[in-house]
Amino acid sequence: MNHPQPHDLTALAYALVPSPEREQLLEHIAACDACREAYDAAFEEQALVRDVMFEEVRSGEAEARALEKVLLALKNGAAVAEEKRGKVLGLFSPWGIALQMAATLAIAAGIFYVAVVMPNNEAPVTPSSDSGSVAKDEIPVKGGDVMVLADGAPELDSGRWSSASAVPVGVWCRNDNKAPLTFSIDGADLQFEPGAYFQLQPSNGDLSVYVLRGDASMSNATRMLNVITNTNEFRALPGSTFEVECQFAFLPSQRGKEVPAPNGQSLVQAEVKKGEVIFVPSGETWESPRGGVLRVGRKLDVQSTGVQAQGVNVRLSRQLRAMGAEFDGKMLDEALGKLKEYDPKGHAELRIRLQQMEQRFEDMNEAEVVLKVVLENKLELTQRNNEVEIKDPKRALSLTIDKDNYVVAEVTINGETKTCKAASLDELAQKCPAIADLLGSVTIETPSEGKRRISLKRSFYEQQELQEEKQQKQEQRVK
Amino acid sequence: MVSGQAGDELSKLAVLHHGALFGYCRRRLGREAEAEDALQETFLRAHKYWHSLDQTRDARKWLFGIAHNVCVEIARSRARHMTLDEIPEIGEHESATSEALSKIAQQEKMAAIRTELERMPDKARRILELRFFGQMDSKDIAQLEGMNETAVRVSVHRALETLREKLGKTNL
Repeated sequence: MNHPQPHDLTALAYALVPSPEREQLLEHIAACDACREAYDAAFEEQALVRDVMFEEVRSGEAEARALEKVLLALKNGAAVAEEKRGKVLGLFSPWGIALQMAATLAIAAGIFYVAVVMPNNEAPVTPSSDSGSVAKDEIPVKGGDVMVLADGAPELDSGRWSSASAVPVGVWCRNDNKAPLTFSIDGADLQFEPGAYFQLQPSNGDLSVYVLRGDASMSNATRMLNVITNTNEFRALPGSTFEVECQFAFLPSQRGKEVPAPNGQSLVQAEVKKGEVIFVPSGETWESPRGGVLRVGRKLDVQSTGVQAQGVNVRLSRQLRAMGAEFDGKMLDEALGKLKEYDPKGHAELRIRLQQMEQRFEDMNEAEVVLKVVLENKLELTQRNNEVEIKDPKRALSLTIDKDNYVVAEVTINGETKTCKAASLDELAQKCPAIADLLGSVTIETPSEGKRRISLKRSFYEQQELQEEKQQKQEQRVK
Repeated sequence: MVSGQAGDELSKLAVLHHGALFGYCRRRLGREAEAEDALQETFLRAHKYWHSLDQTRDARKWLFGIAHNVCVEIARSRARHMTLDEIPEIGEHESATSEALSKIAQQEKMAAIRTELERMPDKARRILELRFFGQMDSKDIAQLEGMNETAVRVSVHRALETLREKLGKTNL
């Protein structure tokens, strides 16, 4: 048996080896104990190396600030870009400080969150006249009535609610009427259907909207709107109209009681009515970005009972922020240390609370996430954790990875079902030529957990559209 | 119109990939403010050279290639401008490491890896950063670094062997 070189095994564990060599090496280590041992050790090591590399470089605020600067520069176009180029390369000048003070986007702060992040060219942070000022304490309601929770306490189920003609900032609100509730933020019209729960939040000079549950839609967005549900993020680009149905309830009250979630599950459905929306699944990691542009008519169903987060601090941070608290995960250990020193009893109580919260997130992480996309050509693509289903009017294909890291395909054509097993997608295409064309929409990767993972290829739709565009352009040239 | 279209497309790419690109720049440059500037510069260059991007190519990798070059330029520029006051003292780092070693086992291991990563040859560290942040494989990295694929893998393997040896010596 020819063993791979040690540097190839290391490279494999660090995901440096491209296909098809990758599949060949995986096939070898599946059969060779010595190489598998070396690979496993290197794989374990790379997870630690990766964690060390990623620590301290993620900062929601800094990332948001950086994004703000980039978007502003791109919005202002090439002329400004050239002007700033000289300044950027003179990195030691303090020019960036003023921009750093600009409004930022709070990252992943709530269950469902809307923030104005991309200012217009002329008036970066000034709201339009019909929206009320972001500095105001309330936004006038355009249609319907809003019910406001008294005292701002997060006791949604048992709190005292009163009717108001404006949406206050920092207080839970709901639409208790049969008619939709509408108001505007910076020219974007927001509509909340009956039964929706939401809250306006100031966020570094901008205004955010958290929606706990219920249907919402946005239109006439002149700035980019960032929408975060418990399972995904949507970024509605200017000019887009975008509907989201969010069924999720997760808010611990002061008495430890939670607002019940319908069926114990969350469900998010989204449809792009106009323009484009960028879709970024929540829990996206740098190793496996799966975001993409959703164009007009694209529908998305995602259901989950939980969130996939990267670490305890991130998870706690998200929950604490959802409760309305400012929280920096990095400070947790420091704060706990001080508390232990000065208030041992309080420290013990807090530790228990934190452990409970952590456990809840752990439970939620076992959730199933379903991503379903239906294309115009009646191709239906569904992804469930580590399983992909593809259907067209004549064929049905189900793909999974088995315990030995092989791809297993269950193919149904004209009512007849057969199973194929292969080490790679290429091999599978050779074994089952009848479904070879469908395999172009999936990809296999090895994530940090060690098991290969099968998923829908993010760029599949984009590439298809690009090809169509290219073809159209070529036809135009010929004409 | 080309410019406007480039701006729109790049805005979308910025929204999708700014986190990873920022993380990469932050890791390479060590300073948050510089990473912000590097990210902006990356997209300004991408805007300028948008017409040269092969639309079938992975735009994320293209952006990482630009970010990589921007970071190299900034690091060089910094080396030229750095005053004595700005040069980090070795003692500070050692002290931070010894502090970390007093924590629990996992933290000790992480701290040791952190230290070894800092000592790792720059090329090997850069390869790992391009792998983790840019999701590049040895082929992409070889192209960017002007090496061949085997050299990329050997470089990382040797650096990691040293790391393993050190971790072994400290019984972690």
